[in-house]
Amino acid sequence: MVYRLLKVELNKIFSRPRSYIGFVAIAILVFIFQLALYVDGKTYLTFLIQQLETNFSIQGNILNGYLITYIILQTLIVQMPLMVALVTGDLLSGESSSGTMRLLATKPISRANIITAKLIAGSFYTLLLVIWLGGLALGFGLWIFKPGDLMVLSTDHISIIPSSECLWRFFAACAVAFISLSVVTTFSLMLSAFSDNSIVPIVTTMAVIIIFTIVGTLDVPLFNNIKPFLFTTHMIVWQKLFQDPISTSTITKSICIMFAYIFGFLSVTYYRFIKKDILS
Amino acid sequence: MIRFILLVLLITLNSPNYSEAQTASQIINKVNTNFNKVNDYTADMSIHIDVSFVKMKDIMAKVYFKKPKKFKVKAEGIMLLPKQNPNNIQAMLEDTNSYSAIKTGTEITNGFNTSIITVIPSSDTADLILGKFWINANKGVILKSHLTTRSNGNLEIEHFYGVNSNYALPDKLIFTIETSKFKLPKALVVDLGSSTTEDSKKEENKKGKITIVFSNYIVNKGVDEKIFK
Repeated sequence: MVYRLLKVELNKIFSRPRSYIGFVAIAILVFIFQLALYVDGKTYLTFLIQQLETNFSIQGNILNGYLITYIILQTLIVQMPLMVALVTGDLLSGESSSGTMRLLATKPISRANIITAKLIAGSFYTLLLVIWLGGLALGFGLWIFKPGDLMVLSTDHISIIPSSECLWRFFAACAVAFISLSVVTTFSLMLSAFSDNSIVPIVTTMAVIIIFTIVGTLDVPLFNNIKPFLFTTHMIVWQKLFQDPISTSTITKSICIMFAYIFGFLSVTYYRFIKKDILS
Repeated sequence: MIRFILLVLLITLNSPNYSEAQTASQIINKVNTNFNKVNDYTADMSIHIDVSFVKMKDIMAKVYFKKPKKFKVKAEGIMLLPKQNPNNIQAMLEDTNSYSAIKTGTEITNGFNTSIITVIPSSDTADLILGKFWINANKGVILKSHLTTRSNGNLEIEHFYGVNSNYALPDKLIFTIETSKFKLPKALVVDLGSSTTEDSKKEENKKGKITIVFSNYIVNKGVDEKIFK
């Protein structure tokens, strides 16, 4: 039954033009990034590594496909939750606002199955977005700029990852990014269960992510105690995969916290939707 | 009588204090003579970087040298090298007209008697402001260098020799460099997860070490010109 529901849900998602906004936006942004870095990448890099060049003479192809992919992922993964929320925030509330929820609830399907199907469909959409971003960035990056060692520039250090280790790290990063975005998927699904209007859960999800990201980015001691509790703090843990040595404990801890959030959001969603008095 | 004079002369020449009797230029000439035996060489190189803000695995590279100043290091990926390569120092010492050398003392370095030679470049625009070299005058090899440069501040190099000491080619070099605090704007590197820690605040003006180990030297067997292009 869930399988049939899932097919219906996927059909609903991919029949809406708004579902393709994310794919188009990612393709355009990846193209813009690649073009900009192809034309001006060396100037940008020279500026970034000038401090390092006071102590070292640097040799080798720094501006390579892996660096381009890393820069793109680092920049775009921040925006990805917004693209995910655009679709997943609408999964339950969209049915309510269009009046189809009551019809759906009259079918001989449990409400838990309805949510499960919507959750899997939303997660599948999220997964496709991650694969689309990773595939475009890595594929075109390696094709245009060729592979090479990855120089990861952070605010207070640089890490150089050998070329042979880059590919698996990118795959692992995409897997972790999927878990991160699943937090957004379940969060917006939860908000969607509380609303009969499509816009509210989408905008609320975006607003919460923006606020949490800003609070997490501000280097103010006042917020240091709050940061570990914000899910956005853990959503960027994929970056830790590009450090040497990899901090496995930090990554595992963040993944566990994200799963706890996913479980929490889903529990509330199931409880709310199963108990909900569907009037529209 | 002649035998006695020869004996005294022999003892004097073999005594550790013989180096003290040599002038700075004589000691440097001995180093240059050793290195002048080298027309070209290739060697495998392993670079280990121990600098607080650089996190990377050891780099394996191959080094090529050909007289007078052709020097090339080749590695497969990204490579960080100290700004001063040992051949630069050697090339500078060979041009004896470009500096003034003074012997400023003696010291035991790594178990060897060394003469301390201070070198001051004649040109006031040269990158090197002051060079101090601990030279084993008997073997004609530099055991330690302390360089004060315009571009990199102070730099210390420890030289360790093995079977190629007669060519003044080291088996290991340890560079101790001054590193200032490495800081890039958060927005520029989109490093949203980082935060300023107490440790990173303390990291200003630390010292870093770069260890280069040479192996498989091939000396004076010819090096193709194409490598340097």
